Amino acid sequence: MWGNCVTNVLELRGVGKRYEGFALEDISLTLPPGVIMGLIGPNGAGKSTIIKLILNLVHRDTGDLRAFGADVARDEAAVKARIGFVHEVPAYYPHMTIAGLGALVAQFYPTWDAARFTQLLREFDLPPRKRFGRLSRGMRTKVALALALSHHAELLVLDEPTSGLDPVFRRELLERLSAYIGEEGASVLFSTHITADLERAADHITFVQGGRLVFSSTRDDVIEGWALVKGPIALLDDDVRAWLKGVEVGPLGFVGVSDDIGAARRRFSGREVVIERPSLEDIMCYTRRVC
Amino acid sequence: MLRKLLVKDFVLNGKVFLGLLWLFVWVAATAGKVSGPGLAIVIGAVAAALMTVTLGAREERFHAAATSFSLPVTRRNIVTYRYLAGHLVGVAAVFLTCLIMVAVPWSKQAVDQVFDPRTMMFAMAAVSLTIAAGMPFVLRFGVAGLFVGLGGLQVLGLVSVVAGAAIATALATRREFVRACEQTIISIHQSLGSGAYAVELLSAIALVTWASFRLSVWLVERRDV
Repeated sequence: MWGNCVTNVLELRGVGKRYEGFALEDISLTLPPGVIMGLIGPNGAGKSTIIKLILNLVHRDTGDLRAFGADVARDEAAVKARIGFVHEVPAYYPHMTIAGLGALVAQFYPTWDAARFTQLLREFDLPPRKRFGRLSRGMRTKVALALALSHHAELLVLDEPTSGLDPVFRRELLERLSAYIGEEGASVLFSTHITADLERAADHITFVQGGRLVFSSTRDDVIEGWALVKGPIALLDDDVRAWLKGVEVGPLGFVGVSDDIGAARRRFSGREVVIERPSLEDIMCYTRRVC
Repeated sequence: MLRKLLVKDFVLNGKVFLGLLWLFVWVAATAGKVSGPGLAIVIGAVAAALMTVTLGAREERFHAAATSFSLPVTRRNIVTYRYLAGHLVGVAAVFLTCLIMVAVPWSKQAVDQVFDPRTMMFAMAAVSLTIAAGMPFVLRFGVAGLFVGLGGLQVLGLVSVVAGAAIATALATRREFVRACEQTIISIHQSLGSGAYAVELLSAIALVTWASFRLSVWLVERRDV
């Protein structure tokens, strides 16, 4: 799991953060270069907390967190100069124009590309002289994206970037992220609770639930490795219930998920059980045990 | 990096500065008519310092702190530039006030009386102490924290007056307390003419400012945004 720490863009090992009423515990993941990783989980799972830890907006209580081989807390200025970010609710001074924000942010990044910023404003249909405070939620996200994409960042950290965007731009954004990693050799970490976005764009998927890591793996391994198990209630004994990663019981039977499709086929061989490949939404839904 | 942060804040808050500048100029021009310019200079400088202390809280108002802290700057840099900005604005306020007071056509002030080194030194000391006292509160609690801190001082003052009245000590009466403060300030002001005393006082101010700065860095580095 632990690759060469010099080549991995992001490495979290045993990272934890405790709040009153919530705890993020033992989060370990690795983001290689040139990869889009989707960070998925239900609301309140800890996705935004992980992103804030990466940006050193909150302090970790335990664990090691490195970006580009450097500790994000000790070398925060150098690390952040290589990161483009979009917060869940982009917030800038409302009286500033979009062009003004660009000029202000530009001075902090040695690799700022003014021509690219101008081009992105044009492509995103953002009027440069419009004040930030007068923009809709979706347009504010577009501004934040334009700023993040305009300094050749090696890592894009996006917190719910598609939230508030129209479906057309959402699709366009995901395609743009794929193109970005191809052009820049960069990596992308974006959090979302929209599974369709991951299925469209992500190479790796990290699933967080209740402050804990459920899995962090390639999308293909997840899709190919997990199983959706449907069977009669009579088969659902305590042993099966404990073995499944999540199960819901209905009037006609049970539906559960397993993280080992091979083992599921062997276990239920010859039984009246249907085993299918689950969607990401199924995995997210059934591991919460609530649909 | 400090220059970039200074530029950022002055650009973002330029309108606030401009809006207050007119008020500032009016006060300075009005003070040109009265005798004893020292108080106006000190008040102007302290007001300017308070303004810069509270600037950081505007980010709280616009929920832009996460954006600022996500930029490639260290938290220490952020604190350093705020102290620097406060002192720069304070120095500018002192000189601007003095200039306006002597420049207005109706000025009754003598130039050497306005540009008195002791007065200016006292004003700068007041600026430093204002920043030293207010900055940790604002950085930790926002503007509300500053007002709570000021309110707390008021309460402390009231408590001391009530306590003094209860035990009937001579200095507990309000008039004598105010007189004692006045005498202290006048004494400090006059003593600033002595080079050694000035050095001692400025060293003490520098120490207090440094201690405040270290506290602010400690608070900001531990803050979760």
